[in-house]
Amino acid sequence: MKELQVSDEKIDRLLRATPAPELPADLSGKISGRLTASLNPVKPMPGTRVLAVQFAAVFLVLAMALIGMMGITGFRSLHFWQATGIVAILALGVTLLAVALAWQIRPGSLKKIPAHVSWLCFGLGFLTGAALLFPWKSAEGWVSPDFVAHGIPCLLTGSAVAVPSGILFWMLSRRGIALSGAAFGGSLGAIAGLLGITVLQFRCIYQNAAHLMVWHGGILLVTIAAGALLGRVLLRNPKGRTSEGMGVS
Amino acid sequence: MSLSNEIPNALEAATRAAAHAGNDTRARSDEDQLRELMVRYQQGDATAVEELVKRLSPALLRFCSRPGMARGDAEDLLQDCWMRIHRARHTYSSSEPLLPWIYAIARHTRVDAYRRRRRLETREVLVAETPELAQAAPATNALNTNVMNLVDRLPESQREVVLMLKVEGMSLEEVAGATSSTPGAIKQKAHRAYAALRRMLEE
Repeated sequence: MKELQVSDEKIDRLLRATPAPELPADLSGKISGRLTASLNPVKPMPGTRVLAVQFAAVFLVLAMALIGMMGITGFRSLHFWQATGIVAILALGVTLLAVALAWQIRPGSLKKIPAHVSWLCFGLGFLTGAALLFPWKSAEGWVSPDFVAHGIPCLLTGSAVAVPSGILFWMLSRRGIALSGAAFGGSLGAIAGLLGITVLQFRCIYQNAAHLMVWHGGILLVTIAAGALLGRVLLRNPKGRTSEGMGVS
Repeated sequence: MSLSNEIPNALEAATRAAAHAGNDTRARSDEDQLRELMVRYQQGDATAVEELVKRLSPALLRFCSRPGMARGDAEDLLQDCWMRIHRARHTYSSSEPLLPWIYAIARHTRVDAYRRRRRLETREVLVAETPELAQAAPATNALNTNVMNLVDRLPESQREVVLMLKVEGMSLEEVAGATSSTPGAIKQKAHRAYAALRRMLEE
């Protein structure tokens, strides 16, 4: 007679009934002793929402300062719906990437979406917005002869804005502990790249779809890739400020 | 099916449902106690530290151990794990469950140790005696031991999901948080793990 297949419930019961390994009598005491030797009250890090709001607030301050310095020539040429649409996309992007960064510095966060999905969502949102809101034909025609010559300075400027802001966001993030170097670095790169895109959106005079998608969107690609690579290489061990540095005075 | 068979089946189903509900209540109570201990740990309470270490270490030792790992190495890994938990204790938020936070750090400790061991393997010298291997606790019956031995044979990503989801009783979302994955991916891994366990049990 053929044996019945082992059911999932039976496996569940067997697993739950298995006791955990016994610890040697002195090990538990040894571990506790080491921990209590450097035990002091610590101030818990703010919740994920508060962290995200703080990152977004810093982004806003930086953006306003940089836009004030670099000007709004490009933004003045936009129609109402273009201006509203692109600002809405950038604002949603800040929200999403600020939350993604906050998730990265708290181990075990119940993340609703993985880091790379948040980068992808914003990237696709920006590209779609640029494609739908902005004209494809520039002043020089469908294909500008200076497409590359106009684009490289934008890519470099946006990336140059991203570097110091990425460092600043990294310093703010050191309150937490990032377990995945690539995800953390990529998230830093994403929010720093978004700042570069935002500043350029106000400054750049080439407000056509192709230019925005390739050269402004390209900033995001560069900063995420650079951030992920640096994060993976530099953060082999969980890095951040330890609880000893977060003691309550 | 006759009425005489239906009533016992219905009673059995009701008993199982009641047991599940009771298990859920106990699990929530355990989780609340663990959160409270962690908050006291953050406040510098030494007795909370001792209690947390005592309660969580056996499961963490099982989680951190790998099949074939020497007992001493497993215990060292456990200590390393606790030191990382200690250094990161300020990052725990009492509004979130504790186990995903603990297991995220434990998982990272284990992965780091694995990478370090891979780098050292080329420089290792073979010894004459095999060190004592980390052993599971004696099971109530042979089948329990067999199941855990089979779990240890699963690919690492499936093994950790089975331990967290089925042995520790964490939810899909909590396991996803601990492994930086999605509930859908966790469900898929658990499904594959159970299919593999079923095949191994039936062999």
